[in-house]
Amino acid sequence: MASRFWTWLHKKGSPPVFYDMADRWAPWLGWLSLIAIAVGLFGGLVLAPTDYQQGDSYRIIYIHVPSAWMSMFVYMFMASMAAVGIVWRLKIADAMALTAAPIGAMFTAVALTSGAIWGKPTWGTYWVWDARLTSELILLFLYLGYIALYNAIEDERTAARAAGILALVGVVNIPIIHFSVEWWHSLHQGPIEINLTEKSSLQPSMLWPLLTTMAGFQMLFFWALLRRTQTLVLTKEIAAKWVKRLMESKA
Amino acid sequence: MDSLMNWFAMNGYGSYIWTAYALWALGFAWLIGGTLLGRKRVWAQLGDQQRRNALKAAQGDNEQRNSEQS
Amino acid sequence: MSAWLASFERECRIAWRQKMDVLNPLIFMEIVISLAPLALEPSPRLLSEVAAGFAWLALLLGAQLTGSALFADDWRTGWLKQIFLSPSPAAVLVSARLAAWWLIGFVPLVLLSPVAAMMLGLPSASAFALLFALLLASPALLIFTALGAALTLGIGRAAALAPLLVLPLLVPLLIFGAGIVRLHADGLPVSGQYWLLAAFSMLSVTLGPLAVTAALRLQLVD
Repeated sequence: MASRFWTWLHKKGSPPVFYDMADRWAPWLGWLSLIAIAVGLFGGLVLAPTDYQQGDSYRIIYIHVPSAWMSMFVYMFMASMAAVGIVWRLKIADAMALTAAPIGAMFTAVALTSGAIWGKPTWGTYWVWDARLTSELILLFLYLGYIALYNAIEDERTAARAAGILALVGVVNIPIIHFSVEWWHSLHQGPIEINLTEKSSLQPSMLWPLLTTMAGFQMLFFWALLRRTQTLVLTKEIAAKWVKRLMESKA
Repeated sequence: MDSLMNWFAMNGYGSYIWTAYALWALGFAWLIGGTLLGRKRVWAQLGDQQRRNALKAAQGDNEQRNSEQS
Repeated sequence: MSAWLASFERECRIAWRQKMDVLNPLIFMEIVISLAPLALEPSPRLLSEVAAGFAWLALLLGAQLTGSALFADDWRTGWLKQIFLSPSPAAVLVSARLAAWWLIGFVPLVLLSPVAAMMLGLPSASAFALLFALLLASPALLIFTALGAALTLGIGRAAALAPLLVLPLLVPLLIFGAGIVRLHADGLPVSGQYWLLAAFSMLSVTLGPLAVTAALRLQLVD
C-alpha cells in the first residue's frame, strides 16, 4: 500500500506527467473562471438590488470578499505544497509553492485596496487599525518575506526549502496572529462596528453573485497556477528529453 | 443612455466602486497577462533552441561529409 | 546532557568575549528611546503613555541588530559542519547555543528596557509588569530571531532580509506583551496574558530548535 502511494506520488509529481495533466485541466479552468466572473459581476453590479443601509457602495464586496478569501486560501495552499516539497522532495510541489506566492500577494493587495476604498464611504476613512485589516496587512508581509527569501538564495533547492520552512512557520503563526489582533482590537474598543461582511446578512439576490465570483476567482487561481508552473518547469528542464519530444509533437 | 449613466453613477458611489474595480482589473491583468506572456516567452525560447539544434546537426553532418571527402 | 552543558559553557564564553555584540543592541535601544521625545513632544503625559510601547519596539529592533547575524561566525569557523558531524544530536548543540545567546544577549536587553521605559516616564509599578512580560516573551523572540538568522545565513546581504522575515511573525508577542502594561496600568488582571506569553515561549522553545537546526542543515547542502 505504502509503496503504491509512493509510486503514485512520484508519477504524478514527475514533470512530464504533471505537464500533460495541466494541459488537460487548464483550458477548462480558464474559460469556466472567466464565465463565472463575468456572470457573477453582472449579477452583482447590475441585477442585485441596492442595499438599504450602505447604498450601492456594498457592490465592492464582489471583488473584496473573494480576494480576501483567496489571500488566505493561497497561503494555506502554498504552505502545504512547501511541506510536501520538504517531506517528499517533490520538485513540482516546490515549483507550485513558488508560483503561488506572487499570486497570493496580488490577491492580498487587491483585498487591502478594495477594502480601503470601501472603508471611505462606509466608515469615513480609508484605513482603520481594525483586526481584519491589520492581519491582512501582516499576511501581505508574510508573502513578501517568502518571495524575498526565495529570490535571495541562489541555490534552487536550498531556496525552496528555506522558504518552505518560513511558510510553515508562518502557517502555524497565522491563527495566533489573527487571534492576537482580534484580542488587541477588542481591547481598544474600535470606533467602528463592522457587520457588513457577514454573509448571512446578504439576501439571496446579493449572495449568488458573490458565490459565483468566489468560484471564478478560485478557478482562475488554479488556471494561473497550472500555466505558470508549466512555464517554470519548462525553463528549468529545457534540455530534458521529454521537452524535446513535446516540441516535436507541437510542431 | 440615461439609464446607463444612472447605473454608472451608482447613486453617488460610482467613483469608489470603479476605482476599486479598476485596481482589481489591474491585478487580474497582471495575473492573466503575466501568465500568458511567460508561456509565450518560454515557447519562443524552446523554438529557438530547437532551430539551433537543427542547424548544429546539419552543420555537423556537413563537416562530417567534408572530412569524409577529404 | 553533558554535551549540552559543555557546549553551553563554550558558547557563553565566546559570547562574553564579543562584548560589542552584547553592547551594541543596548546602546541602540537607549538611542531609540532618547529619540522618542524628540519625534513626539516632551509632554510627560504623552510620553508616559507610549513608554511601554516604545520600549517594546526598541527591544524588538535592537534584538534584530545582532540577532540577524547570529550564526555568521559559526559559518566561517566551521562550527556548523562540526555540529552535524558530532555524535550528539545537532538540535541539542543548537539549543545550547541559543540558550547561551539568550543569557548573554537577551537578558541584559530585557533588564535595561524597564529602565529605558522609566526614562520616558513609565510609572515604576508598571515597570515590573513590563520586565516580567519581556522576560516571558524573550525565549520566543530569541527563537524567531535565530530562525531568521539561520534561514538567511547563506546570503551575502542577509542583515537586511532577516528582520523582514521575522518581524511580522512577532506580532502576537508585541500585542500581548505591550498590552500587559496597559492593562496593568488600568488596574485590570493580567495573569491570562502572562500565561499566553509563556505558552508562546514554550511552544517556540520546544519546536524552535528543531526548525532552526533544519534551517542550518540547509546551508550545508551543496
